[in-house]
Amino acid sequence: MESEEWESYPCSYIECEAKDQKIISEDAYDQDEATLISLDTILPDDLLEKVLSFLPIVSIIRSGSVCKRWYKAVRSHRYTWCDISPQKPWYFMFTCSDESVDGFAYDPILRKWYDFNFPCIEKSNWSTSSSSGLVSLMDSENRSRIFVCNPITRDSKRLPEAPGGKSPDYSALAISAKKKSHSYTVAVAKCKQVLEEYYQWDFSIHIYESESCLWVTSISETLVGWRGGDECVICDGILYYLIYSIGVLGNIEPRHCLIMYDLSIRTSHTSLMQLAIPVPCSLTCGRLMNVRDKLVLVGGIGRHDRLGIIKGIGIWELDKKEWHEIAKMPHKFFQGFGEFDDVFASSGSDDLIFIQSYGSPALLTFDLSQKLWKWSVRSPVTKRFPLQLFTGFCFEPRLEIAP
Amino acid sequence: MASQDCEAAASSRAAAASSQDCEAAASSRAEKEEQKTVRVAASSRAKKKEQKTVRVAASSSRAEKEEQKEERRTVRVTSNDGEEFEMDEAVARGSVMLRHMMELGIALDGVTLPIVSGEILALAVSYLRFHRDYDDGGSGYGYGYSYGYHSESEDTALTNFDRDLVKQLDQATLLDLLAASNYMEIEGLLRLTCQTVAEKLKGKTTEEIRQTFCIQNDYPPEEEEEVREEISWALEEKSLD
Repeated sequence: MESEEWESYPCSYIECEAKDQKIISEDAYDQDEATLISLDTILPDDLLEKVLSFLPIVSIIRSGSVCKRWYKAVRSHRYTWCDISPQKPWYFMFTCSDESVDGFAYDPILRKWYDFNFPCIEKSNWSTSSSSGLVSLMDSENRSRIFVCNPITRDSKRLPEAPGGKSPDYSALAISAKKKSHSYTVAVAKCKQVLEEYYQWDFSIHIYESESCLWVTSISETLVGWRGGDECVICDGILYYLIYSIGVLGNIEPRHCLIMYDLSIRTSHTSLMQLAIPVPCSLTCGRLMNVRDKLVLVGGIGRHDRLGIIKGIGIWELDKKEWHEIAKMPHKFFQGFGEFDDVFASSGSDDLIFIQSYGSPALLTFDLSQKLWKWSVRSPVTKRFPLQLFTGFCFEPRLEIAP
Repeated sequence: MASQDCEAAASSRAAAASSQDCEAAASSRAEKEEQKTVRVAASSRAKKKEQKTVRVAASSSRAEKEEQKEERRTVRVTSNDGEEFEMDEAVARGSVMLRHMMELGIALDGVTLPIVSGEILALAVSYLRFHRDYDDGGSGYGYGYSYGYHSESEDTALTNFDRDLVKQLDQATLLDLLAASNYMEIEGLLRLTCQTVAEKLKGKTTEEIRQTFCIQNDYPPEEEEEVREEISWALEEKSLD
């Protein structure tokens, strides 16, 4: 019990209290001077941490600047009393897709943008994937160079070199972290055209487990008539990956297909193509995300006559290998972006989905529980020249998980 | 003529007889009724007696039990400055610490809390008393009569009580109550006081937090600069709307 700690409090704290009272300006507070006692003399570390746990994340982090003891409390990682239920994700938007990696992070609950310095990332074209507070990042120039970080605490770790080559033609990254054990899995899917066989693509999946700190090449296959891309996600232990038809075997519609790979099965003799599911309709592009352990696809819907032109955006959920439409973006929001390219950025987790057009810093959110479309507060990112491109990704802000 | 007379006489005799019969019947019926009434009355008296016996027996045995209970039913808690509070055991169970002491049988002669003052203990006891009527208090033993279900008005009463309890406390008392609720292991009160202190921190700048809670800044200037750089995004002065 606490009593031992209490009875042995040193007298020096009481002296400290008297000294502190001189700093207080008399007219600022309507409390008697006698009642101004330092919080630090009354609350031991664990109670300080408990008080902090009731604050929004931004306030907890800010508390670290108060004094050394508070900094330690914020960093203590003893967040056993933390609520581990999912939190609404934040969205990180790069200021521009050029050389700098400055950006802003949007908190959809407090509806605030923060001038955010994202750890590890060196270029805005790096692949990213996030899960339960961790974000994994893949160097676009060396696809075997992968980091995992917690953007809030800024803890980061570079993983050992991933197998599969440094410059495949296409590569995709996915991370899945467990809330209770804090262990995580990182998957990299690499795809490279077979030399002189333009319709054959070598495809491989490599898995990293945080508990063993090892990479394992899980599967290697040659796709015929299909190529991989940069879109994959892990959902409930299954890796989902979007592949694209090359159009060799006639015009296959739709041109996107989803392949599924169960990560717990290490040796598979079934070809990945046998388990492939076509996307619900012709898409100009597709974005995959894990929303409360269900696979969600946000896709650009192409015009019937001119498939490369986007006319709308739809959201589907995969349920037992069948697609169910959740929502279609209402026309007024679609128009609100201004010009909409056939490709766009979209990510989501918990029950919030973000959609951002590459041509504008406008950010749209879709709340799945309330089926509500809403613009974010205007972002501080500004368009400085006509061809400027914008992009971003989402992550869950968490304090208790570290790579 | 005689026969007529006979007949008349006979019929009148019969009538008389029958009326006699009637009367007799009536009177016998009346007697029977009376007897019945008597019997009914008797049996109901008997029943009442029986019930009374049962009641007397029951109440006396209940009284016995109550008497026995009376000895264990309350617990006396004393603050470090000698103030005494008598609580029903069911109320005291809201404090996990007291509950354990009662279960271990070491609360029979009362409990003294060496680190809780009378002023603070009074607040804690009023919290326990109020919450006992409404909820489990987090003790997990289902103390109180409701089993986790609250009506809307009960919920409002709870929230109002909690809010009023902490609203008029000055900072030192609030912090002392927080510490006491942790010591006495009263989960709901600990959560309430922590939330209240957290509310006072929200939205304040670093310097404002230091001033409100009299905290010494022990960062050397270079280190403070480093820390502020590291968490620059979270500092109120720099957040963008």
